[in-house]
Order: sequence, then C-alpha cells, then structure tokens
Amino acid sequence: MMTAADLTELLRASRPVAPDTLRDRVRAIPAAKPAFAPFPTFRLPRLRLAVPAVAATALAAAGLIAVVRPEHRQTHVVAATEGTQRSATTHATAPTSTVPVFGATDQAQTALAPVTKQATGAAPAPIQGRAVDYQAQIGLEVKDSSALSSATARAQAIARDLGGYVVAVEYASADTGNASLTLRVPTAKVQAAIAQLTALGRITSQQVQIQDLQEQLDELARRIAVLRGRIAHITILLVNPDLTAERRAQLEADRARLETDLRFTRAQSKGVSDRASYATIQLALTTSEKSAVPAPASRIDRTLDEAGRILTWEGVALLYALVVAGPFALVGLLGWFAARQRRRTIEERLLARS
Amino acid sequence: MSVLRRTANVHAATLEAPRPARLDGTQSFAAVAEQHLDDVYGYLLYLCRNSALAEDLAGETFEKAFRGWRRFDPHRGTARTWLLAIARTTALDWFRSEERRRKREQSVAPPDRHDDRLVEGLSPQLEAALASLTAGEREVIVLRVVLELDGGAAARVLGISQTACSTRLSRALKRLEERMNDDRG
Repeated sequence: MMTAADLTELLRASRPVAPDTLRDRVRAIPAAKPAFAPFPTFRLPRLRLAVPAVAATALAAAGLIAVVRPEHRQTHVVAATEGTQRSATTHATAPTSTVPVFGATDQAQTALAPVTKQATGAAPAPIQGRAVDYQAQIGLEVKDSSALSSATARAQAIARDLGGYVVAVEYASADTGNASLTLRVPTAKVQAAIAQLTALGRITSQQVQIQDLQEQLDELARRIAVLRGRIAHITILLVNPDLTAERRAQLEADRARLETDLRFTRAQSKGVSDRASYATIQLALTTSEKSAVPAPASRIDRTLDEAGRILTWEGVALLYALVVAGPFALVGLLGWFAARQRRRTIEERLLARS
Repeated sequence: MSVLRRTANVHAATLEAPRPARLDGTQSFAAVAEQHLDDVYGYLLYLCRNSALAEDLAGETFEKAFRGWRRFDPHRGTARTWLLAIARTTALDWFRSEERRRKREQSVAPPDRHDDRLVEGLSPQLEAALASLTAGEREVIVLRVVLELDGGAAARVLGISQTACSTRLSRALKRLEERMNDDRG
C-alpha cells in the first residue's frame, strides 16, 4: 500500500536531469544573441509605491506652487477687490463725472447734453436768476473710523452753517466704516457747500443734476393770475342786485371752484419754489480700504492657504477623472476578469486532454 | 490516509527544502539558466511526457527568457518561478498549436508521441500511474513535489490562487495513489 508520502519520496528521489545537448544549447544562447531590448520597456510602478508617490508629488506640487505664487495671488486679490469696489462705488463717475450743462433756454433734464469733466470738487453753479432743482451726489473716502466720525459731524455743521439742514444721516463703523448723509442747503450757497464738503476727504465719485424749474414757476404764476382775475370778475358780477337767485348761486359756485383751484395752484407754486430754493446733497463717506481690511496674513499662512486651495483643486480634478473614467475602468476590469477566466478555462481543458 | 494528512506531509517536506536564492542583481542570465535548467526541463518533461519535446520547449523557454531578461523583476518573484511560468506558457502554446493541428488533420494525424520511460529511476508502475494523470495534474505534482516549490510560488506559476493550488495537488496525489494501489492490487 503506497501512501502519498511514499510517492513524494519516490518522485523526489528521481528528479529529471537536463541532457547535455540541452545544456549546451542553453549555454550558447547568451553568446549567440545580445541581450538588448529592441524598444525601451517601461514598467509601471507597483501600486503600493505608486499611490504614496502620486500623493507626495501632489503635495510637493501644491507646496511649490504655493511658495511661488502667493505674492502674485495677493496682488491679484487686492486688484480684484479694488476693481470691484471701484465699479460698485464710482461707476463711471470717478475720476470723471457726468455733468449736465444748460443752454440759455433749457427747460428740462432730457434736453441736456452730458459732458465729462475731471472730479475736482468744483460743482457747476446754478443758473443765476432762474429757479432750478439742484441735486448732487458726492462720494468721499476718509482715512479711518475716527476721520469718518469727524467728517460726518463736520458735514452736518457745514449744512447748518450755510442755512441748510440735515434730512437724514446713517452712520456705521463696523468692519468697513461708512456714513450716508442727505443734506439740504440754499441753492445760492450750494457751490460753497460742495466745496467745503469735498474737502472732508478724497473724492471717489461726484454727480450733479440740475433741472430747470423756472418755466414751471412762470406757468404756475400765470395760472394764479388768471384765477385771480376770474375770481375778481365773478366778485364784481355778484355785486349786481338784479341777479336772479339761480344766476347768483351759479356764480358763487364758480367762484368757490376757482378759489379752490387758486389755493391748489399757490401750493404747487410754493412747492416748486421750495425745491428751487434748497439744493439736495447726498454725501456718502467710506473709510479707506487699507484701514477697513484686516492685517494681511503672514507668508506662511498664505502659502498654507494656497497649498490647501491647490490640493482641493487637485482633489476635485481627481474626483472628476474618477467619475469620468470610473465606468470605463470598471468595464475594462470586468473584461479583464472575464478574459482571464476564459483563458484559465481553456488552459484547464487543454491540460485535461493532454 | 486522509487527503489532509497527505497534504500536510507534502507541506512539511516543502518547508524543509532550501528556498531558491533570489537574484541580487549580480547574477548573469547564464548563471541563472545553469542553476534552473534541470527544474525547467523536469517540469516540461512531466507536462509533455516526451523528452525530445521537453528539450525543445526548454530551449525555447530559455530563448524567450533571454529576450525578456531585462524585464525580469527579482522583487516580484524568484528567477525559478519566472522561468517556470515562461516554460508553462511555452508548453501551453505548443499544446494549443497541437490541438489545432489535430483538428485540421483529424483523419491522418499520428497519435501523440510519448516516451515509455519518462524519468530515470522511476518504477514502471509509477511511470504508468503518472501517465494516466492529466497534464494539469502532473504539472502540480512536479511543481510542488518534485521541484519543491512552495504553495505561493506554484500558484503564481499556474496562475491560480494558493488554495486552488493546494486543492489541485491533493486531488492529483489522491489519483496517483489510487492508480498505484490499483496496479499493485
């Protein structure tokens, strides 16, 4: 009775030995053929080495780019912020401003031709002898929160000193200090007011709109005169004792209606006069950018931030690549498994038959 | 004796065997070929049961190995495992071409040529028992028993898992044992 151990011993005891002819043939191979690869061969690194290598490369690349780029990026960020703020605050008004210019017979703003001029603090003067609606918007930048506070107080004082008054004030000095004032000053002194106000800080924007109200006032004055004339005429008619009761009642009703119209027209005229007598100035004060933004981060912080950003983008790119290539890789893997299984099955069959 | 016990014996014998030396980068192809020539030839002889064919295939194996010598990575396995894997591929290619030839020339194909004496020193009964096994069974026996490859190396040569390799070896040894005992009986 033979056991597996006996068989093993028997088999091992008689290991085949290659014949001399084969030995000579194999010995001759290196001498006959030079061992060179016709094409350079590249072996893919093993996964356990490739993964840390790729991770280290990604980290090194992020670090290197971050070290090289932070100054550039900082400048870029500041420039972008400046650009954004400029577009938000000045919007085609600073350093130039659009100022309407009146002709001698201009009646309304729509008839005006805008021209540009450098913002110097000098505002166009209201037209002498004519009633106008004068509106100005001024943007100023002051140094810091303390300057903002004093400039806000000073602007109110200027309005009052010139015989005007303050309509509204909004003041905030949190991260970025800003104040907004609506002032009304006598139209005759508006130029002086603007000159004093613009001296409170650096002008970032200035816009002036002047609308002629004189014709509207003249029309209202004419209408008042006509109404007065009509009322006077009716009053004279009512003095006549021969008037019938019906006619008298008619005339009295007419006079009452005209008196109502007169009161309304006078009120309109007064309103227009008031608009013309005071100019409206909207003043926006902001602290300068440097004092508003926090102290810049250190170089190491910026480098780390930049490296983090780059790593995030690398991760996003990797994820994107996985999402895109994942299904293809899966199909490829399944195909490879199927092919390997098929090859094994064929080999098994082949070896079973041989 | 149970299959488990038989496998355990083989494993014990395999563990005692000296492990093949790994390449240290200084060994030349000629030295490696000289060192493992008998192993490759023995494996092919067991697989094909034809000494002339085994000699041819062994020669072809070493030619292929020489061409791919620069691609050999000693960190991925021993030179012996690498050479035996090439030998297996070479043998399988030959089996495939033979299969195609047999199908093409079905009516006139000569019967397969096998040597009566496979290996010097084996008894005729053992030779007959080995001949009754399939090539797949013989190759696992030669790898694990005759050449004393460990489970992992044999599995790598065969392209299967270590467990599958052990199972295949157990079955092959069981069949060999049955054939031997049948012949004696």
